[in-house]
Amino acid sequence: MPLLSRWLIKSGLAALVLGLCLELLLVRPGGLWPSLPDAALHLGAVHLLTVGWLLQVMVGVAFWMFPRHPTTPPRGPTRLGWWAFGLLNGGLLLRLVGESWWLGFGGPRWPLMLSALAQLAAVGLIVMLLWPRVRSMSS
Amino acid sequence: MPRLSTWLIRIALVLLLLGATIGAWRLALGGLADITRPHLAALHRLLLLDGWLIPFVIGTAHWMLPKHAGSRPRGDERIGVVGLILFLTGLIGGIVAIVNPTTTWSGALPAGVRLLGYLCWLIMLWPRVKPFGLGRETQPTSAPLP
Repeated sequence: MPLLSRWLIKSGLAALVLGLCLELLLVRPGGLWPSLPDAALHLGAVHLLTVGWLLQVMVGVAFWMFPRHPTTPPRGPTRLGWWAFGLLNGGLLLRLVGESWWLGFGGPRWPLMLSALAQLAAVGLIVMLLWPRVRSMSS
Repeated sequence: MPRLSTWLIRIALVLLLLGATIGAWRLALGGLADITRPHLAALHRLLLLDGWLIPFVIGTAHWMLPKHAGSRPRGDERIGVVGLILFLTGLIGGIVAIVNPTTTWSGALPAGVRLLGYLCWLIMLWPRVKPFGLGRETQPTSAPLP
């Protein structure tokens, strides 16, 4: 399994645990940490489970298993994948912090905008990385 | 990778990009907790949960699940193509229903059409969920090559 796939899948597993921890925080006893914004916790948990866990594990497995190119590098430009990995996880963490800050404590909006740009760029890079490998084995 | 899988996975990648664009737009506009644009939230969910996740998984499963012996190693792919047509019809109908809702039930028909598409994929994949090698002896063999 290539290094990028291992990082994507392990980060996906970490996001799964973190997402479930946020879900646990949502059902905390009343009165405990009342200033935590539940809306941000819920949205953060949903996106950790869908973007952080599902998307990353699917991309990690696809990068490993999809038909390889007959030429080198066989899995395409890995550098794109590393950029996608960094932008996706950076964007996801920035949104967790930024959304809680914005909703719970009246923070600024720029972290959310930056997070949106980072995650969108990451998805664009993922599509660029995987698209040429979606082909029949013979072609 | 079979042709049907390439279609399904490429469609899923396009829908991932579309869904992520809408999600990024929502996030930049004011966070996803902003409920003043419910149609964007519904589009975001439809494109990513139905549009990205399901065809990507089905396309990969169609490629990777154990094959049958004989002339149709991946079963009857025509059912999969019918499923793809129903899925796309239901997805486009779902998008139209979100953008231009005429009645409260306008989303139900496209959802039903998508469900029929998923049933087609289920029928196609079900017999291939088996141990590797099982049934290879009992499947009809392909015609000998000239």
